Amino acid sequence: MSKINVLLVEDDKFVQHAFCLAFEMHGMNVRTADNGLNLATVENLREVDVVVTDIVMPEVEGLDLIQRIRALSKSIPIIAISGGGRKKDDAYLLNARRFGADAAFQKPVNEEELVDKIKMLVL
Amino acid sequence: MRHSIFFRAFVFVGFSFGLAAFLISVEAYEAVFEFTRTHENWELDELILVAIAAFISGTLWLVAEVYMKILEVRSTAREMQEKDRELELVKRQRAMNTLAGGLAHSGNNMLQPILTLSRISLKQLDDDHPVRSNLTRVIAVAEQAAELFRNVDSFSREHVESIDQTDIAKILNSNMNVVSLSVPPSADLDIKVNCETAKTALNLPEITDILLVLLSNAVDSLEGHAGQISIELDADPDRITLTVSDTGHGMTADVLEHITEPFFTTKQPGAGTGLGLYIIRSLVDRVGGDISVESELGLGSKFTLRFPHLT
Repeated sequence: MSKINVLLVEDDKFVQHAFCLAFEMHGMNVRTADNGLNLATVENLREVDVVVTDIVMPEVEGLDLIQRIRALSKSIPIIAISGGGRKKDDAYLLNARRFGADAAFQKPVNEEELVDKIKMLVL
Repeated sequence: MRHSIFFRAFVFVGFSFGLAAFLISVEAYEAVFEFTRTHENWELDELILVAIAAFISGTLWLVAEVYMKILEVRSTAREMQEKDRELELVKRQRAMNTLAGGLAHSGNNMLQPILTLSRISLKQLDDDHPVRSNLTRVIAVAEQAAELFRNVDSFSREHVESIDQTDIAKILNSNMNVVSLSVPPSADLDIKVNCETAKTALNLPEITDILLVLLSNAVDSLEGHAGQISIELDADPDRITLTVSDTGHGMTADVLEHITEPFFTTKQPGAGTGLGLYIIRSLVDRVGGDISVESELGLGSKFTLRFPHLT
């Protein structure tokens, strides 16, 4: 079985590092990005099996990225994660689903849960 | 344009004094006095008396109207002050919520690497490694912090939502199916919406909760038999009245006394939490409404909820 290729979009370096480590421990390949800028291109997504993205980010934020990816591909699994804490954050997660994310989590999320979800969506 | 009462009063008094001054300057009073004395015509005296009486009563009327106007202006000013204060409170509450929400957001973001990296590290340590117990404590405390942020988050949200508006009429009209779906076909459901709008200070999930609790209680009271469940909504400019009635088994006076107490239930263990009506009462209390229940054993029950009507 080939390795799962994850595209992790997260502006917080510590969160990025933590998720990266967790995914790699489960034998996944991880590519990281600090925000959604220039990410949604056919070339970028060719090797990607699943996109894990934060919602609130500078430049191009999560909801926008989800929409852009969905315009290119209907099938690539997308998981949205948000820090919560704002009134509209529930709406963000709900909107992420509406815009085409396959799953949405609120931080702090258990990485095992996240890995299970990735496996479920990809395999 | 209609001039203000103050302006009209000013003109009236000014005109009266002006007229009086003019009459004095042309010695009109002396002339009238001379005239009545020489011709012995007392009707003119009476006419002057009537004019003076009209002038006095007119002045009194004006004074009364000016006084009423002053009272009105004062109470408007007080109301505006009150509104300003409320607005100030809402603004402060909003600022607090933004602060609390932002805090929870940052906190959650910080807890993510703390928890993930600690859990990963724990997995990498041998079972008897001395650092294990400390790392376990770090995880436990971080999880407590996550719980704390969740509470801060929901607290900040709760208060923002309390200034929300939900139109019950709209819900009953548009979600007819959602409401009817929770009623089995054996029951005859009748929904009467007698008003265009019925805006409450509760949010949509809260109103839905209220409706579903009342409906499920009504359904349970029919015990699977055929029966009637009626929902009726009325509203005047001040009040919204929502009644949910059933032709179910009803309640004894003893049960009726306790139904809104937390954890009080007459249902089978596992069938009810005893919290439904308690939650309804809390929600209704929060927005300054009230709830009353009439019930007769074997005949049915009627729940009446009244809310202040937001306009």
